[in-house]
Amino acid sequence: MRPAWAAAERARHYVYDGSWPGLLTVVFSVFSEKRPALSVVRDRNQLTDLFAEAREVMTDETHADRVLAKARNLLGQRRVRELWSCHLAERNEVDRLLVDFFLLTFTGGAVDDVRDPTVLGLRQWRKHVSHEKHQMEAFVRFQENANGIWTATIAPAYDVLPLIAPHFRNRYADMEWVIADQRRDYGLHHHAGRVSPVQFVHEEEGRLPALRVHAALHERAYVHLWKTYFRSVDIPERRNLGLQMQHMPKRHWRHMVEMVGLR
Amino acid sequence: MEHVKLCLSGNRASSPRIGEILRHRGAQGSTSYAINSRSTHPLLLNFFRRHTCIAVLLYADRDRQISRQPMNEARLTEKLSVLADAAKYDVSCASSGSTRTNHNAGLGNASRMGICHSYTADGRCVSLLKILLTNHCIFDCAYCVSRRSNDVKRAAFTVQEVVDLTINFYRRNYIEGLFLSSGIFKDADTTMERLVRVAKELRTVHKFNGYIHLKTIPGASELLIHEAGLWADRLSINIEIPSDAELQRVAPEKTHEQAIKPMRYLHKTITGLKEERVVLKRAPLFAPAGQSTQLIVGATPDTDRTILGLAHGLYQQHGLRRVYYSGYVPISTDARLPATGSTPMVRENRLYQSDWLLRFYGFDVADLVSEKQPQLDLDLDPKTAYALRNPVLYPVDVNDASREMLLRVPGIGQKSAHLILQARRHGPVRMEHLQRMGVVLKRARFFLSFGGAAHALVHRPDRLRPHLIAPLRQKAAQLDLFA
Repeated sequence: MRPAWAAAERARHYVYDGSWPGLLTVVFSVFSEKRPALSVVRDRNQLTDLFAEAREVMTDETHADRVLAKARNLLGQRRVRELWSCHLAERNEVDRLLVDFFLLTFTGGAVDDVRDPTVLGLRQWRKHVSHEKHQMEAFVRFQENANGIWTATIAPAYDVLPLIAPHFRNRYADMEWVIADQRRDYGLHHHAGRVSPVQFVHEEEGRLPALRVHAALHERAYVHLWKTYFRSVDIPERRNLGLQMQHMPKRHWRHMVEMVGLR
Repeated sequence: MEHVKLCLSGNRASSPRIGEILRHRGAQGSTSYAINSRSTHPLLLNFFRRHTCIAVLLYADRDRQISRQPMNEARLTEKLSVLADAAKYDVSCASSGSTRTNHNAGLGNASRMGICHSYTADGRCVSLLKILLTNHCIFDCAYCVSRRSNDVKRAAFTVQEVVDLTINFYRRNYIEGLFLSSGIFKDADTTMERLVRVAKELRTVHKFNGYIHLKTIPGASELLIHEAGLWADRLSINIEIPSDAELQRVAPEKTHEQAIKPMRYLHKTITGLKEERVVLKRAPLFAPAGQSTQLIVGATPDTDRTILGLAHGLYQQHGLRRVYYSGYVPISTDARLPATGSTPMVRENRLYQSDWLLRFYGFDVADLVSEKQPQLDLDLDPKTAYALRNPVLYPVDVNDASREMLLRVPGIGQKSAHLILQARRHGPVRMEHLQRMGVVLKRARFFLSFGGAAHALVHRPDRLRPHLIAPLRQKAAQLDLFA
């Protein structure tokens, strides 16, 4: 049941830093100040109505932890993790749905009533994010560098690196690898069973010597063999570029060696 | 605390390639470090909070420069193009269903759902490195491109070459594993032994835990088949031609029994060892992703009824995980085969849809095809065709019907049926809810009711039919008329 204070006229905008604890702090203020969210944004400039009342929330770990503990209690660890994965979509729309969903949860609403637009909306976003995750697990292409480190660059639509980390850690346990998110300027580095996030420091800012290391000598040969294989398994009588594109959206192609330099 | 720091050279505009990452170890293992002033990523902030220091490092020369150049690349390229081309008509691509984990800190694991790593221009998924060990073959099956009497270029891989390609493609995340088949080059046992050797070498020497699919060679000894099951995730034997009589006409050296016999043996062993594993955790993994087979559609006059009947039997009696249907592509001009064009892809698609209905939707073969109508309707998907043949079962009331009945509505799948049941507990479900749940209303709306009246045409299949034929199909049919 929605409490009386959750009426639309009491709603206001929220601005936060984009982090998960930040969002949980927003939820905390919604409750402590009894003002529901009209919208949740990461940057004040994203507010369309400049004169609207907006609350800037400073991330507070203790508040965030209290919200998290309560949510875990009511929803269970698995569903809280699902909410966190939705948050990785980095969309204002999702943040708003998440805050509404916490409101629903804490006020004893039916959290599995899929007729509710908030519940169904989050369900769909969870699907979008996990789809992107699955695609990234498939479309990452490593290349071996002369120093024996395996590297890959991706540009996923959502911030899925934290989601794909366990997959690559388990699979390539015996390799030292780096997966870089080109859009978000950070990456994952795996070495001896440990994955840690790494920030990319650009030359002009980082004051580090700009040395170039090229791909290992044999890298070209295997890329060539792979392209040969990829061309050989196609059945030209059955050409269906629409289907290919549907499964493998074009935006991923520039990071996939077999699609680079095709057509 | 380990001090590691990553550095990417080049600026954002020039599209930083991570290939330019450098590695460096300072004096006494200490490192210089710098953090980008724009390092605002929440994950990183969190990481910095928990670690006193983040090291950044990736400088040039490590002591060793590695080089693993493949032997004789030109020759290998040629072999690969011949032996991948010959293997591509086997449509099985699944890399799913296995439970193998990376248990020895080696390379790879199996993904329960399978992963498709790429898609070719014909829209098919590339999941496994699918190749023949050799396309030399002593058999002369009319439908097969590698048959003895066909004049094609022949090639053969060595065991080492297959292992090398698999490992190197796998490490680059190109593939989920290996699908190895072969022409029968001397006799069944020699061929099978070679396939098993590849799998064994991958598993033991290279600690490879990725997916391996091996073809079982008809006529190979049970001992070898058993060993194959110990190394592989999936085994398959292709029946190819749906009826025994037709098979003997186009492939005089083969019978159905030759394929069924090893299937029976594998089924027995798989179920036996699975039960053993329940009690004894140490019992070996044996073909954890089960077995599959392939049927060629359209090379012989066999009807859809024959095909689905056979498939259903294989699922029931031999516990197959998958039956694949491969639309015949005329790869040869053999007099034993009809001189028709390619099998329409729609037929292949309709068979897969029926296969799904049999396995997951509680349909029976008799619901889909009958003696009177032994072929599937190419214009309608099999569930819609079923609905039109059985109008008395509809409309189905969304708020009242059982799961079984919901699943019989065209446009409602497993997931949307589940969502409907879940939502119903909280109150009535209406049309607008269904759309958002992923129900295909284009088809479903004719067969549903919401406590009240149903669609006017629900009991007029003849008039309903044109509404249900997909517009694309209609267009294609029109084009055919003018061709």
